Amino acid sequence: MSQDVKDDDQLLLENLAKSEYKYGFFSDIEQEFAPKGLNEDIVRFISLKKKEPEFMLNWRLKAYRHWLKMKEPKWQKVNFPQIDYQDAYYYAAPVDKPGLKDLNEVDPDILSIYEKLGIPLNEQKKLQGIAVDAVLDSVSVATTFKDKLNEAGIIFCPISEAVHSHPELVEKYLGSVVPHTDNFFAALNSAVFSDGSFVYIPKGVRCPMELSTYFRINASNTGQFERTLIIAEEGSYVSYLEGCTAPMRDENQLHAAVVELVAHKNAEIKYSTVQNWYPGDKEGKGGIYNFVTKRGICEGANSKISWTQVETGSSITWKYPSCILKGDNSIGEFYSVAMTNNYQQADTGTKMIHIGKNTKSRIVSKGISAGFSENSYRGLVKITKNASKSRNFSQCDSLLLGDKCGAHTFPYLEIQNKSATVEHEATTSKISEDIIFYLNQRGISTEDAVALIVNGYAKEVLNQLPMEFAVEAQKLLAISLEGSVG
Amino acid sequence: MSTNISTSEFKQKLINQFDSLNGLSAESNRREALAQFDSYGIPTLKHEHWKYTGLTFLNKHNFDIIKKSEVDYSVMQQFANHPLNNIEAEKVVLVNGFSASSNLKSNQSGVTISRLSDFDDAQKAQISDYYGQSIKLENNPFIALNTAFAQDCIVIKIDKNTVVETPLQIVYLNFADTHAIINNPRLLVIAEEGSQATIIESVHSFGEFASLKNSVSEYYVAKNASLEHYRIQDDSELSHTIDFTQVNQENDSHYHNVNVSLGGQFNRNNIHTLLNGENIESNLSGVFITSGNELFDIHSLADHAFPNCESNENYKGILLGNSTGIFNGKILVRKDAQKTNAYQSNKNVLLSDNASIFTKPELEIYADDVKCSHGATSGALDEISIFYLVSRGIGRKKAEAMILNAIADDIIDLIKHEPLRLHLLERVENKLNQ
Repeated sequence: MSQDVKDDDQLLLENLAKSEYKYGFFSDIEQEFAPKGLNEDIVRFISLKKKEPEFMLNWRLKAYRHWLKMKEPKWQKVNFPQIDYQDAYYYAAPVDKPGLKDLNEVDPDILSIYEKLGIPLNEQKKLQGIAVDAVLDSVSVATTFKDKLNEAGIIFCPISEAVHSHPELVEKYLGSVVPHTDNFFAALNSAVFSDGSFVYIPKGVRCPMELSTYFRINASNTGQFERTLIIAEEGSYVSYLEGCTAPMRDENQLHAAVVELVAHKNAEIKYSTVQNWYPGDKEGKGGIYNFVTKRGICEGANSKISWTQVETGSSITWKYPSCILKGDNSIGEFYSVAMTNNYQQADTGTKMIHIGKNTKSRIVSKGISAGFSENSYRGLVKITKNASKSRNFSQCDSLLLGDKCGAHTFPYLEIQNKSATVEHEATTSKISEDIIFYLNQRGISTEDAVALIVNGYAKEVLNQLPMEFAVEAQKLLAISLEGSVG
Repeated sequence: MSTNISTSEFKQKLINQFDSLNGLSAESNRREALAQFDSYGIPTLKHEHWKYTGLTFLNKHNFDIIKKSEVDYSVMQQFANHPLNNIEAEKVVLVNGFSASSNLKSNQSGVTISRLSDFDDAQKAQISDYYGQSIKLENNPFIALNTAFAQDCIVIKIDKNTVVETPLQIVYLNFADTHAIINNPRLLVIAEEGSQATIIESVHSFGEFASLKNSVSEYYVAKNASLEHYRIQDDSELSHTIDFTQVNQENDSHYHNVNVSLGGQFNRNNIHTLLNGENIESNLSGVFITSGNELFDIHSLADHAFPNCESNENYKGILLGNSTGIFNGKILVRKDAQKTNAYQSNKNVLLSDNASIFTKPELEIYADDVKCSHGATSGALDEISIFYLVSRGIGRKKAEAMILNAIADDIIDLIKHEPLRLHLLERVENKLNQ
């Protein structure tokens, strides 16, 4: 065993000892709220606050009016009390301090939150080579590595900024993959989204670093409505990382984000998520409602979109990162680990829509349920009539730790082309006692043995993550497992 | 010949016919069932269980509920020469859900075959724990429809420790010679403790008009009993079926269902097994071959309620022409059902670009000490296998036929009744050569 691996294990053990949610602190920063509730005036207020051009306001209003006509979906296998959409704030932003030129001018309170999270911007800038577009609640506060990205012609900025600096791109692509009519929460997001990231990779450019953003939900009772838009032009490549932590709050918080990816000919987008929002306490009180719409379109031939997610947080996770494989020979991938403990609920999976010829998709989903939690995989593989020689492989495994939790699989396979090959398999089981006994015998406690096995079980997915994330994800899995054994 | 009628008109038409049928509205359980049917209505594609199964044919044909007095038993002559009339079995023939004979009898000791309409109150009381007890009317509009309109029920009882040598065959004849009809056959099978039997159900349609067989069957398999159940449909393009079969199994029982569907315009099968005891073995298997505009749909559920049981599901489909195949298999493992082994497999071959397959193998699991898996595949014939055969001097067409036959035969070989098995193997070969 090498020294590095040993240290890693040591760290894992240490983290295991701290069983409470480690990112649960609350930082007191001046907030500016829109009044509670949702109506056309609030939508106008948000748009005005962000000094948006008219097309944005019209787009928001269209979405809002459509949202009014929609009903909250009920088909998902999760339970939660009725959400009162009028009893929440739809806009909260750190108080505007105009004219920040470098990181030193950023509110030290905000900077200290990031430091607690383990992502000191200054250090990251030097050490890690990652450009961080840190999002605090709704407004982006600092963007690093701009110069280097500018050199390559890459645009990486808050979407609220992109609305001003590149309105033509925003107008063209916003809502092109997830239209405002798509679903209840996408419509809500379209109406009231406050901020998010915008990425544009020009033709033939390989993004020189991993782009990353950290989301946090901070103000209590504030729905967080992020909007991310990534466009990869012909022959370009980008890897985008999204990581989430949130402070401990008692009330349920709604998070309804929308992520849109567009990959043109020969382009590749890799989107990785580590989601660790507050899952609620041991009695299932509190926690984040994470209702997210994520979708990418492989617009051009030979393009590729790859989703990787590690979901350990949120009291309810409900999302289906999807790929529309429109270009011939395009590839969609989905790698997921969803871990639920205590009273957490997860209903997650993917959709692979094969439209182009020779399109390929691969789904690897690993669910782990413990405590009283419910964990569902729900996925769709659709091979349309023209998608000849398409190929799909899906594997959905579930691991049950305890007899009070549930693991469910709802795959939909719709095949309308004879030359397509679709394979799906799923298994559900528990960790066998033989394996635990074997490890116990060698002096490894049951809890560590379970952590070890779970990490091995999830390795296929964790391997898809960029290095820094992989380490963090491993720790998260171990922390989330605490208290589920014995 | 065909007149279009809206779904709500169709529903109302059926409800109106309820009142005009003698004596039906006098029974409260029928009225309740009709109310359930009325409140749910005809399912649309928005209903999860009917997502891929369009019921537009209901609007196309001007269906009427068949009355007992209208039944023309002469159709039994037409069936006389059918190969399935000549396999070794003890037969109960139903024409549009009614039996011609009031004097049903089995030649085998320990077996009673009777009509519910002939029962006196004491006999009715004896089956009151069974009849309609395993099914739910809510959210099942077609079970509700059947319960409201079923004017008779065939009751088969196999006494304790009886080993039934000759299989029992229930022959459903749909006969629509003057107008399109809906019939609502009903079957109740009680296999008592330690008994063994084989039951064959087959469906055959006659006449120039469309028919819809909306059947409900309840099977009770008691302790240590063993039941083989074969369901054969090899029917015409005027035949439509919506069938619901519920099987309740007790401790140490064994149930095996083989469903072979080689023809029929619309064929929706629901097969639900409740594993209501320990050490139960429950096997569901089936193969379907569809062509033309046919639709075949199987919805299965293996409901594990107790520990130490095993269920297997194995369904295969071969699709030609513009046909559609739907598979929705669900394994439900309840909280107490530890040490459950449940396996499910669904494999489909698409032979035409206009054919579609929709498959949804579900797992819903609430117990941890279980081994459950499912697999589903869809694709064209394997080129490597074909190449292997072709390189050995077998023509391509022949090679394809061999592989397809092998897929179907895999399931048909599970049928233990030899004459039936041989007949089906031959039919499959003919069908695939067409």
